[in-house]
Amino acid sequence: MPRYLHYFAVLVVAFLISACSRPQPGVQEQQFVAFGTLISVTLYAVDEQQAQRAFQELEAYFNQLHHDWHAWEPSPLVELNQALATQGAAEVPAVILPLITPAQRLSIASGGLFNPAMGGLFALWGFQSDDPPHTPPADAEINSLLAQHPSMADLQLNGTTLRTTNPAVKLDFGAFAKGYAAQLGCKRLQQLGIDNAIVAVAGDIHVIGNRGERAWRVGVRHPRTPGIIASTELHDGESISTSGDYERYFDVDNIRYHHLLDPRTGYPARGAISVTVINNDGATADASASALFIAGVEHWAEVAKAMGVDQVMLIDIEGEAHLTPAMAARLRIEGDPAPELYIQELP
Amino acid sequence: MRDWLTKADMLLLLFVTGLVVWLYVAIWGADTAALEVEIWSRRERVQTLPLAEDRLLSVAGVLGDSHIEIKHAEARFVDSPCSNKLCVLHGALRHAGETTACLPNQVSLRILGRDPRYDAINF
Repeated sequence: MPRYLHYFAVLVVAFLISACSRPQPGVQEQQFVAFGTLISVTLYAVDEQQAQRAFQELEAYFNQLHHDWHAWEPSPLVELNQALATQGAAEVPAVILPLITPAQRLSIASGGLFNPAMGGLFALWGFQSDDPPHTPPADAEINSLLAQHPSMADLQLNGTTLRTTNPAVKLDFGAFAKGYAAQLGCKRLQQLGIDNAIVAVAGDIHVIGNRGERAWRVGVRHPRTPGIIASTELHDGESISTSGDYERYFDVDNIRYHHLLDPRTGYPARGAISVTVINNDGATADASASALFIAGVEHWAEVAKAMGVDQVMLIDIEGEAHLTPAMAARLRIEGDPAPELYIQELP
Repeated sequence: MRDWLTKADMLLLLFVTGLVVWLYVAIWGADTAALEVEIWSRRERVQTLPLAEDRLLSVAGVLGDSHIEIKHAEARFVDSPCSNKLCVLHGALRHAGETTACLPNQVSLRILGRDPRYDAINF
């Protein structure tokens, strides 16, 4: 055997052994209950001490946001709603002010399908409670509320003063608060000098940086069976949100009543079972996932266009997946059996 | 060929090939498999257990004990001292990265793979 082949063999073995050594990437993980839900945070390239400080800071931060934005327990938001209902005007607390304009913009863009002014409807259905409801409300109660047409367009914000002429307006930011909070959590981590993180507030996820040499990987839960229907990589500054009929619901006579209420009918929206949206803005991803779920198979594409989102997957009641080209290009379908795929251009 | 490839060379090549196969299986083979379940209570990681070993266990939370079952490479809440039992209704976890929690009791589960297939689950 020529001498150089010996050297070559030794080099190959040395290379293989070094390539197989497991890197120590400095991944720090934490789970905690805050914001009324389970929060999972993974940090990359930070030491344990820095991570522990960040986890404590985040937990306190999310608990504060939860208190500030709570829609039915004593909170600044509940006080704001009371003032709007009784006086028609109120000073908006600083902790709520940043929510008003994006909520109004997204609601109007969605044609009112995302309607955070309809807190009264969520309350009527019993979804403003820690325990799931057991029966739907009476038609008369729903119709009475719908007749008052509470909407975000009823609100005028001048400086820090919010006014409305519609006493039925009752703000509930539940349909976009988690997506927004996940992004705020990442922002807070950046202020602490952490540049690589994935923050999941329940299922709403925002990422910054990456996980070492690879992007953060996210699985999208299958809406009907245990496991994953699809997966994707998220890049710096991206959010992913899913709205599904399996999150909060109750069944009566084999009919599922879920929390994604159609503001036009007052009843749970039918046609979709989950909608997933990826966007650079956490609030937009979360709000549009809810709005597109309500828009359903027929109209989701036009609402997506109006809300400025182009990465969407809707699973319909037949289990078939409707995707925008941009979502289809990045999503890896993993469901078994794989759903039928329909690619739909936005109008 | 016999001129430049001796019996020792053959053995070396065989060894290198075997080593590559063994390292691949040992290092990467199980990377996407769900290997362990992490159990958290009140911000603390209280246990990390292999999914391959069936067992029933109790974990103390803020309200009382949550009962967790590991069976057939899946983990689930079988009972918990909460009123709505959403944790029990959630069903079994089996994929790396999947999580579920009994929020009132502040007990949560997370499936770990050696190299987690997913860093988080969107739902």
